Formats: sequence, structure tokens, C-alpha cells
Amino acid sequence: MKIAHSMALNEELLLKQLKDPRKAHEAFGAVVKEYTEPLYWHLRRMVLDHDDANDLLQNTFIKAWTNIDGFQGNSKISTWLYRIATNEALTFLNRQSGTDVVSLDNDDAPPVNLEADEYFDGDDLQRRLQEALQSLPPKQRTVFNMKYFDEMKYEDMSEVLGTSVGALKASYHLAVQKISAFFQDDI
Amino acid sequence: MTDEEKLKGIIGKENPFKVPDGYFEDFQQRLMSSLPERSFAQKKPVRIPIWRNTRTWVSAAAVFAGVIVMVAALHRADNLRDAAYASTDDGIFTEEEMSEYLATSVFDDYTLYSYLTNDE
Repeated sequence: MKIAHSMALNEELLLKQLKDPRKAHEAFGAVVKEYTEPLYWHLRRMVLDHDDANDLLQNTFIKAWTNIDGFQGNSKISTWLYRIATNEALTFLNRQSGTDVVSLDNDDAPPVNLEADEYFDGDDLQRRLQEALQSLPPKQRTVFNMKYFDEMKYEDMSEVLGTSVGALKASYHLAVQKISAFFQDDI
Repeated sequence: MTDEEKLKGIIGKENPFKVPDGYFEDFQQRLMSSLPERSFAQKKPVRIPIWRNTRTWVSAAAVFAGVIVMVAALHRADNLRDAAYASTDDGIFTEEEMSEYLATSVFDDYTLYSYLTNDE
């Protein structure tokens, strides 16, 4: 699920079609088909709960659909969609934690109970990993997920998150250290 | 071994999350059938002035015509020079031609000498 390689569609043609009233619906269908899964997993890792991820995914696509005219094509469509999805999720987490600003080092996220989640199929190690990830500030957790699981390039992450590459590298390095410390006894 | 590599060795990259059966297909169908009405930006037809539209071609034609005129002028200059040299083949008078010329010229010896030595 690499952002740079997931788009098999011709971006320039697609953007033209998305702005054409006669072709927009069909073109958007192609976008939805291409990005439903990667965006879902991106959101699911951020919020953990399936229903929340589902709602956020729907909001993401509807926002994209209603704001296509404002998209100038300065970035890839994939980057634009990830940016909308990430902002939706961070706003959601922000609302959950009762704070207004989500920064790289804000760690006020409430705990999530995976025991009760029927769509979580992990073993004890996976549960501990999610626990470790939950101990990270939401944006740092996002950085970790995008780099570690999605294998995104820092440059793409920088466009999505609006954070400098240097800050992202530092944040990821810190996240790896924190999670490693969590599994200190296993190393 | 870096911290990241050590971590990969422990936690791997397995996805522990699941979705309901057929979720992605259902999601796409539900979403596409419930998209809200969208207002499309009205594109105003762009009127391009005739001069701006043809400016490029006129400029190209002018440059092309200039090149043609220049080539023609150079060609004509070459022809004139060739014509001048034609009387002497290689541009050097033979002794016979020189004698004939001197015999029929109005120069006297002194004038000719001055002319040849640029000593007027």
C-alpha cells in the first residue's frame, strides 16, 4: 500500500473527468474503487474501531467529492485523499481526547478496548503492540503507521501531514524507540 | 541492526484487524449511490483575440521570410563575386591580359606606378 505506486489511473485525465459533469460520477467511482481499501486501513490503524473508520472513510470520500473543484492538481489525487482522511481522523481523535490541537507530542488519547472488538483478530503480541501504539500521541502514531505499515515516503507524508521531512524523521525515530522500549523484554 | 529492524523482528507487519464480509464492495456501492448533488464550476468560454491566436504563426512566418531573404541575398552576393572572378577564372590576370589592358588603358606609366604603389 505505497501511496506513490497505488494509482494505476491516469491522474491528468482523471482530474479532467472529475470536473466534467458528464463524466464525474463514473470517474469518482474509479477513485473510490482504487482507494477504499488503502484509506480504510490507514484510518482503521489511526482510530482502531471499525465503525469509526467506516464513518471517517465515508466522510473522506464525500468531502473529496464535494470539493473536487477546489483541487487544482498541485499534488497527486492519492496525496489529497490521504490528507483529507488524516485530517478527518485527527479531528476525530482530537474531539475524543477533548483537546483542540493535535501535535506530534500530544498524548492525551483515551485508551481503546480491543478485547471487545469483534473485528480485532490479533494475538497477545498484537494486542500489546496496539497498546504501545496507543501510548503515542495521535500524530506520532500516524507517522509511525504511515512509515512502518504503509511504507510511505517521507516526502509524501510531508505533503499529507503538512510537516517537514526532518520533523517526520525525528518523530518516527522517537516512535520506534518508544515502541521498542515497550517490548524491551522481548528483545 | 537498527531499532526499526529489531522491532520488525518482534512485531512483524501482520494486520490484526478484520472487516465484515464483503465490506469493501458494499461500501463502494453504498457510497456511490448516496453521493450528494454537486455543483460544478461553470467554465466561461475563453475568447482568444484573433491577433493573440495568430501571433505565433505570424511571428514564425516573419522569421522564415527573413531567413529566406537573407539566404537569397547571400546567394546573390556569391553570384556577383563569381561573375567578377569569371573573367580571370581564378581571379589572377594572365600576362597577355595585363599587356592588352595596359595597351588600351589611358594610364601612363607614372600613373600606373603610383596606383600600384598607392603613392598618389
